[in-house]
Amino acid sequence: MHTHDSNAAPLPDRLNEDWRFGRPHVHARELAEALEHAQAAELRGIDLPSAAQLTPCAAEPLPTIGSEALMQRVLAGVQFGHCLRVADGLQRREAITLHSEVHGVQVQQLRVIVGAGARLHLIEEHEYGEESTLVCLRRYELMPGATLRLEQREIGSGNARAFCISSCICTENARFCSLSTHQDLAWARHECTLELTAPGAEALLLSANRLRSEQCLDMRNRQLHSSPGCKSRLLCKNTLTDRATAIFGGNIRVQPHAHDTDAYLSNLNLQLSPHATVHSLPMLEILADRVRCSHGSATAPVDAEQLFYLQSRGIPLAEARRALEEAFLADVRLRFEQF
Amino acid sequence: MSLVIKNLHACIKGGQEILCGVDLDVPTGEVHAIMGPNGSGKSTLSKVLCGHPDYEVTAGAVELNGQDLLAMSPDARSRAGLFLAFQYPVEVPGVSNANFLRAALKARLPEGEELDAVAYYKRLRKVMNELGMDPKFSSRAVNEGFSGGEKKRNEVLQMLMLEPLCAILDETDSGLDVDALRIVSQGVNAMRSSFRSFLVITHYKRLLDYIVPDVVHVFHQGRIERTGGRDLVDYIEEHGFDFLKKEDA
Repeated sequence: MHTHDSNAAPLPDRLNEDWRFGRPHVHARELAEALEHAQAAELRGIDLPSAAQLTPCAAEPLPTIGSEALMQRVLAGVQFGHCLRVADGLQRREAITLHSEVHGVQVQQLRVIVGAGARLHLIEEHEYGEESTLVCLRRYELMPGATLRLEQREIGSGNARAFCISSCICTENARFCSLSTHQDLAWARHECTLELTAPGAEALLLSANRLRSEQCLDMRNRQLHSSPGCKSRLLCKNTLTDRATAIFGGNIRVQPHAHDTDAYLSNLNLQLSPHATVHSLPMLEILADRVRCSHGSATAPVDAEQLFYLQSRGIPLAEARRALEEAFLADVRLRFEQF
Repeated sequence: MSLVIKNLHACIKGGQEILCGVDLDVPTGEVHAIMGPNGSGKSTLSKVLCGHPDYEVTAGAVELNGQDLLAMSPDARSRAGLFLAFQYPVEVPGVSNANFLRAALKARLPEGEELDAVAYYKRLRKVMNELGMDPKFSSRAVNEGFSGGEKKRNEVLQMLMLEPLCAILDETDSGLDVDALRIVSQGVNAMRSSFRSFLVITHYKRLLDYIVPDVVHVFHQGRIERTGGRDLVDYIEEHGFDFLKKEDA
């Protein structure tokens, strides 16, 4: 039971650094209003083995990236969620799928605990009806030596909207790889906080998104290195046509004493329309010595030299352009497969 | 039937003229070598012939087997039979070598006709084997993470698969070790035929020891300054390009 006053904290606006760009004052207010009528979303497990059980569990707050007020409103409305607990040592080659169909305004809370030494490929799929909104809180905990390969597929339609807050904690020698894709959502905001808490933990955060018409995707990420000897990588790629907007905020924070950190983040955007907009804010906060950290961001149209190279082999211009657009995002999928 | 270049002038778009009246005739069945000092315009010639968008042709004409090459788009030039093995091949992340070559071959088929996938992969493996390439390279992204030599070998793989009527090799020997040079040259020599021509751009005699040219041209200040036989290569090897400066003086 949450006793705090969920309406006390002010909603995010442009003055909130983590909500700059796009139309935060509109989206945050609409989201808060929608939450007053939200229902809990159903979650269906497909091909769950006996060693991975889906059970009800109490909702808990997650670290946000500028959305504390919205988090409070979510927790005030829906207090129970689902927990997928994977037994220690489970070695599962086939993917487990958690599927949801979203109608109206719905809230979903999911906690995934991957036991020590277990290995799992998890697919989370949200299929949105037109005009639907999903608010999703997700927490992943990887016990020592666990490996989780996670696909988060947001499959939208019409004016569907998504607001997701994810938190992942990797303990000693745990390995985490996520691939998020957003498709046909009018507006989506995804906050992801990754924390590496013990030596040997490693994470690869991937995202590949095709944005078109007036769609807006707002991705906020934090790679928190709180232990020495951990490695994290982030690659977020977007293709933008028409009047689409991509917003990216990425922050690698290396805590004091987290020496021998190896971290990188990259945001790459293929701008296929002069009317598309990209805001990219990669950042580093390094409070330890002896670390290797860097970031990169690039936004550009299709590379003219690559285009010419394909044409020089006889591939027609339109086909070459299409192949390069697809290759831009396919590269992300390839990295996920190779993890 | 041949590659015929007449009084070709070209510049970087909005910039200075680089090709200043090139005249060249490469009949089918012949291998012509182009040598010349750095910055003389050799690579520009190869890019202009293939229709690189950075360059603008300001005068002249180019025909490939009677067709007006300059009127064609870069992809149409390729399908008409022209091939350029790039000096610096481009990396294309996300596109596998096999898919890239399949798309290039498919573009040559009449509309609606499909490529025989089984026959294609069988041939690809055979050619890769002949070039001493690891079959794994077929599933790797085009040139991504390849060494300089691997990129050049990949260019020759593409040439062998696409079977052009006229192939331009732009410093294909740079970055190749002796063994790779021999293997790549064998691949080129195997393609020599009465219906195909080659334009080999190089700085070094060693490539021309393997791919023996019929005619040698010396490029200087954007045009062909001298034409001769095999003995011209030996002369350049011994004396360098100083004779061009003396002629300028």
